[in-house]
Amino acid sequence: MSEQDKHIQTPEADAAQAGVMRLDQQAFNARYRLNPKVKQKPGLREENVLLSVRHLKQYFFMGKGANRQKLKAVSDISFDLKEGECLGIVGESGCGKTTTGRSIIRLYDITSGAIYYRGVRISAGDRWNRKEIKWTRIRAQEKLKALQEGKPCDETAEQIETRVRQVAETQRAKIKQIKFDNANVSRKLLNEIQMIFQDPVGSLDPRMTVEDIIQEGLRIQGFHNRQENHRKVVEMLQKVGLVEEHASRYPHEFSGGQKQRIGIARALIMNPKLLICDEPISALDVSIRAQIINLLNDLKRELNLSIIFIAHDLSVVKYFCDVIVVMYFGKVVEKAPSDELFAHPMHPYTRSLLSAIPKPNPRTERLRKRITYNPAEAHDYGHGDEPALREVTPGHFVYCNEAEFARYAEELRGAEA
Amino acid sequence: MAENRGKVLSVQDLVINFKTDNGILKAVRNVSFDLYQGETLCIVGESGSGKSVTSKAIMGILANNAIIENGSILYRGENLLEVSEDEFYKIRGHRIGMIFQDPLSSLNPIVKIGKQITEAMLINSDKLKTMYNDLISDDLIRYKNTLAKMNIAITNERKKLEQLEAEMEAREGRTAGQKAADRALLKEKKAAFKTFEQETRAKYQEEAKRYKAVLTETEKKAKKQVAEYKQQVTEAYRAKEKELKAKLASAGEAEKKQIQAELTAAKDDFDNKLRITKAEAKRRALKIMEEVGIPDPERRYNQYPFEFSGGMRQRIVIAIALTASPEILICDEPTTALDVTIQAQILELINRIKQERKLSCIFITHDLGVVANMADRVAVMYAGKIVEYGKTDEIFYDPRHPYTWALLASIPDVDSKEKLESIPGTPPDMIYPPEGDAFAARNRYAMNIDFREQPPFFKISETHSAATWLEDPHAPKVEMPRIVSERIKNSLEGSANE
Repeated sequence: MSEQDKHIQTPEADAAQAGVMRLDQQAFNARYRLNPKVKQKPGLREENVLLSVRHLKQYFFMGKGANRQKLKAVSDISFDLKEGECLGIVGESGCGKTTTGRSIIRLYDITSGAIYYRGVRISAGDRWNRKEIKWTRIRAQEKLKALQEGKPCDETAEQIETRVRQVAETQRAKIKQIKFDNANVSRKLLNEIQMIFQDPVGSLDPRMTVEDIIQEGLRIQGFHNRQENHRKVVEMLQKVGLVEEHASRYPHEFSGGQKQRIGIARALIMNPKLLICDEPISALDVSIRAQIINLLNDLKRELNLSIIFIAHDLSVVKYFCDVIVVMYFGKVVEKAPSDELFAHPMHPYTRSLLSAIPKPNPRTERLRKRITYNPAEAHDYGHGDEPALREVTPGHFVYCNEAEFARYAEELRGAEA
Repeated sequence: MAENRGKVLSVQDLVINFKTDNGILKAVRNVSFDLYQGETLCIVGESGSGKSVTSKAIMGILANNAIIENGSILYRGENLLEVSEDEFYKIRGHRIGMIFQDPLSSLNPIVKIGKQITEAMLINSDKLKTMYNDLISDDLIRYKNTLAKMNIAITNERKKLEQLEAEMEAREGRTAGQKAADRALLKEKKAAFKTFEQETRAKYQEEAKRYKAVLTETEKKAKKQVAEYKQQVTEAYRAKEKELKAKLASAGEAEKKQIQAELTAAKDDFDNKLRITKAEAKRRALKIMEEVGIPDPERRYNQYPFEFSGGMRQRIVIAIALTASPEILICDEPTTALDVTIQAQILELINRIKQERKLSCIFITHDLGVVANMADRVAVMYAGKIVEYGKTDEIFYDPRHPYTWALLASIPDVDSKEKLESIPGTPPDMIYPPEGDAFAARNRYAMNIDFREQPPFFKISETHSAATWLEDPHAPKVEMPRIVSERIKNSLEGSANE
């Protein structure tokens, strides 16, 4: 085994990989060269959770001064991904599914929330903590004002001031920790997460040969042994169904399906454990789509990958995913195991998505009625009965309020009976 | 019922090649199909199978390096491949409209939506000019067509000669003797071409001369007629204006307003008789925008394309295509760039418009789900040829060609979780198309003959035919893949239950 192979795990090393989750803390830190001060949740490792996204918020700010606008691309989504599982994120364009994927691989600094990979915090945002300090202060000030005016209050002025100071201190410590975590991420840990991009044409540099494109990641991580790198490139090309000769060519010489294969090889060369596929097939022809779906399925089994599969078409996700998350305007509206979601779609948006898929069956297709989803008509929110993600059946979450929750549960019982 | 419908468009034996740096690319090879009144014909195939090229040929917007080798496109008894550019102006957009794949790149990013929709209307806004053109059009087109026919005949012959020369050059390892023989042959051909050119020119020019004389006569008459019309309209307006102004002078305060309004109405009416005013064009544009489902058209009218979402942009493109109320609508993958919900909306829109306006549609796509939704007839194309042609039910419930099977097996289906069967390999290089059946190399059921000879069309029923040797009486019996047969069974049962 060469020097290089010791750093990047080969299939032989993968056997030991299975035990990673059960390594003790010190060995784990050593393995990923972690800074021991970075926040960790070892409990997640014990539960075999590979990736945990907690209250992820991603806002984008546009304009300056008075024109400053806030775009809530992703607002408060959470999910867990267990090792070897496949999670599908579905929704229409603009609902924040791509942003979620890109936030996970740290292409953006997230606004709020945290992302844990193997129980280690790899990315976090401090907006919530800052707001917490601000709002505690504002509320305290109101209370103080009320006290001065002589209204009755459950706290004395002194108590309020100490409480505010305490809150500010704890939150400041947390913000400091978040900044520290973001600055001290283990590269080795992040290398295990790789992404395949939507547009196979736009994501490959036209001036680089395929070999350079695929091994760029290796070079950045400090592997400069040319023969070794070339061997790995060839191995990856074969794995995705291309041949050695393709290594010296340029991207424009390939068809769309082949370009997407190059994109997959580029992701696989870092030996990822988690693959984020951002609509890898929506730009491809139907016949090529099936090839790529089958290839990803085979790789998933062969390399024991966990996959986050982002798509706008529910019919594609079905071939892949154990769990499906349906998103609408930055929020998760339904989350359920794949079979359960297709058998009992609950949220009206999921139903409208399902009804929009054209099926290759002319007779039913002519009679098909598309269900339209209009949030203003479908829901009756805002009377104190606030919507939230609620668990209808074990593992099946729907974004609804109490009244809807009762109705969904009723419907499910009716379907079972 | 459907059988009684007339043919609107008929494509016969169309062959289109492209001259490229690497050689002659055979994009369309012997394609024939008919489009019937009020029906939708779907052309399905992978990218590069020649479906867009066929539709562009119908619109007469092929690239410059295209050579139409053979064939005819009959529209109302006229061969569109032979008409002159002047006549095509009358057909393109007005009779045959087209919607392109990418709605962003088919709209001008720096021109407001309203202007883009009314553009075509305002170009033809001068009614006097239109009237004049209509009066002389028959004679003019006859004259221009004669010249066009001459030019097309000569250009085709020349292109064939150039092609021959290129092929000779491309042949490798020629001996000196062969080279000399080639040169001699070429010389002979060139001489033949020269005489052909002279003969054709002489023949057509004489004809053209006669038509030109008639045309000058008609032009004179038309000018006079138009001038008379203009005078008539103007006089009528002047008289009315005078009368109203006289009234206005003697009228009281209360009546003045009404008369003033009448005066503007008369002026508008006069303007509308001579040309389509901007206001009139806007009124029509708003109506069409409403028809294609754009909410709040008044506000949207003054916006730029980037302010619209993908689905809305596609609606605008459809609106532009509809302004001239065409008879045939060609949709070139209008939903490929959109996501499922928007796709469903656009498909519904096209279906609705098709029924309301009694359009005939050619719909190009690679998604069989969309085909099932839209089509009355389906043509499956592969490597520049139609491999299977039939009514929708026949293609979906009784497919015969292995390529159709493969397509059906490779679409993700919500109702089953079986592993998809992908089509191995990639389409062939059409500069060197394979000798036999183009699909043979990717075909699990290929027989020896598939690699040697191209299959003819075998008739399965009156409306259904497939180009595969499997339909030959001598061929071994082959079952279609299990995944396809099961899907067909399931969908037949499913639709029976409903």
